[in-house]
Order: sequence, then structure tokens, then C-alpha cells
Amino acid sequence: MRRAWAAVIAVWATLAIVAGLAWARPAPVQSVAQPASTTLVVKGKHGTQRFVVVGSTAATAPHATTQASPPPP
Amino acid sequence: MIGLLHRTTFRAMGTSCTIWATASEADRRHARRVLAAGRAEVEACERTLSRFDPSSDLSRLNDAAGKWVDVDSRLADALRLALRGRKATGGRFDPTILPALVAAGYDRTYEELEERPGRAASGWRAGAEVEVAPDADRARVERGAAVDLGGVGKGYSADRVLLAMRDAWDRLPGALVDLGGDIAVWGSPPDSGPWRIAVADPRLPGGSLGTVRIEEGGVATSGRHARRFGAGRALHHLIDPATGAPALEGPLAVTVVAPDPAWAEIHATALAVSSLERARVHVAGLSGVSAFWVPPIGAPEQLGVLPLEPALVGAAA
Repeated sequence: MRRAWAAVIAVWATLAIVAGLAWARPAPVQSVAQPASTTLVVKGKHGTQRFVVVGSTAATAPHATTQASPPPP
Repeated sequence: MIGLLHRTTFRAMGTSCTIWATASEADRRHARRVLAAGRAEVEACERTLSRFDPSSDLSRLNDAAGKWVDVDSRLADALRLALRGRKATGGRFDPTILPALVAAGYDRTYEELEERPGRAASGWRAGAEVEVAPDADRARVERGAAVDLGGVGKGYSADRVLLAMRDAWDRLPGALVDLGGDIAVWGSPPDSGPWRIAVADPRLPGGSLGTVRIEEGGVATSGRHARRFGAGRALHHLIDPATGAPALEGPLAVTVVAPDPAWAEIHATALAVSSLERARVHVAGLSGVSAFWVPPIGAPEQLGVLPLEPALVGAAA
């Protein structure tokens, strides 16, 4: 009899833990790298020239875009 | 380079919301906690400020028929801000336009709107009396009047969300809150430098008028090209307090950059029902505020000094 009760309690405890974890599950989070601008140093005939490359799409892409109260999808 | 941008996207306030946190890979757990705190604050603001939720504090206030009501501090603060905004814009932003908005046909969430002809709001007048206790979270709206925080609520909420995120982790390097296009930023993105916000071109889906760079503050857009409704989608949600009807005068859209996200939205709402001349005078009288003005016909204009990113493809130093 004691074993039966132990089994019932174990099942309920497992269910409670699973429910707790599901309730506390954090919102899905995505992480993305944001590359910085690339700096190239090129040595020329007349000394050193430094070029800052800002043409990289990733380095200059906007973080967000404005919109006016868009309708729902 | 600080690390990564961590983000979460969800639906709230009738639109798509995305919040971003800057954090290194090692601080991923902190980023999760920050984003969870931000989302919780968005949801708390919606529960309090929504006019579509009959159990919200705003709905209780509107239903109180002129009696004083205890409200959440979020609503009390938002109302104080809205009243300051009404005064600062000469009434072109007015939080008491709700009866006129409902009469025009925007009487339920945008998803649930039915096509019916708009009508004039009989007996409605701008500038209805709203009182907020100076030392307590209590408010009162004049009997027969009603408040809508559509012209300030998302900007105000975005600012509160930033504070909640910073409270959740005191070493947070930077954050961006985007509540359906009303944007608030603080701190740094992972690539350092300012945050870059593209200003959408309302005439060209997917097009951009330019990119503004800001380190702290807000960007808000108000326009009549979105959220149209009624027969032939001829009506829009921007009520001119001077007439009580959808505004005839004003831009197709206006985007405002300001040091404070809530004020960015207040000014955008006021400018959206203003003539270009009036808008020029309005922005000229403000410190740190600038705007992109897109007329229904003709070229966009800059009002004030927009912090635009130079359109460079390469530069030598």
C-alpha cells in the first residue's frame, strides 16, 4: 500500500514540476551578432593611409524601422 | 563591440512588438531576464491603458461618469503627460477625442472593425476636463467625456519598458523598444555608436527616407496611410480636435525624433493634424525635436535638424 501511495505522489510531483517549468518558460529569445565597421589600413607611396569601410550592409543596417500604427498581419 | 543583440518579438497593443537588449554571449542569461522584464511591462501597460479592454483602468475611468477613480500609477502618469501634451500643442493633441473617434467608426479593435459610414460626434467638444490628483493615483474624467491614449500610450509605454529593463539588470549596456513603430532607445547597440533607425517611406512599401542616429530618446510616426477604415477605407484614425472628424489637413505621415519617447509620439500626433507652416513653427519652438514631414503630394521635408546618417558608401580618413 505504501508503495502505491509513493507511486501516486511521484507521478503528481513529476506533473507539478513539468507544469511549473512550462509556466515559467521564458519568451523565445533570438541573439544576433551586429558586426562593427571594418577598418582597413593600407600603406601607400606617401605614407600610411587609413580607410574606414562603411559600405558593409551588416555594419550599417538599421536596428529598427519606423511605421505608423500598422494594421495587424 | 559589446557582444550580441538579444531580442524577443510578440504581439501586444494591437501590433507587433520587438524589444532588444545588448549583452555579451556570457551575459545571455541577464539578457533573457531583461527581455522578460520588458515584455512584462508592455503587457502591464496594455492591461492598464487599453480602451478596448473593458476591465482596464482606462475603461473603468471612462465608465465612471465623472467620479474620481483609483487607478494604476501608469495611467495616472500617462494622463498627467497627456494633459501637459494638450497644453504644449495648443490642443492639437487631445486625449479626449475618444467620442469623436468612436463616432467616426473606430469603435473596436482594428481587427474587429466593420465597414460602416462614419458620422459626426454630436455634442462632442475638444478639451474636456480631465483631472489627476497631484499626490495620489486617482483621476476623474468629465461626465460624458472619454479618454483615448492612442496618441501617447505606446511612446509612454516604451519609455517605461526601457526603465523596467534597466531595473532588471543594472549593467545593461543598451536597449531598444519597438512597439509597432514607436521606438525608444537607451545606451549602446553591440557595435557601439548610436542606434540606427530607418524612417519608412509611407509612399513606397519597403522604402526608406533615411536613417536617423540617436543615442537616447524616441522616434514616433503618425500617419493617415495606415489603419484606414470605413466605406472604401476612406476614413483614418487621426481626429482633428478642431473639427471632431478625421483630419483633412496635414501630412500623409510625419516621423518625429525627440529626447523623450512619449513626447515624440505627442508631437507626431499634433503634427499629423497640422499644416506644414504650422508644423514648422511648432518644431522651431522645441529643443532637440526634429521631424520628417511627408506631404500627400510632393517631396518630403525636414523640420528642424534631423540626426541623419550620412549617405556614405566609403570614406577616407
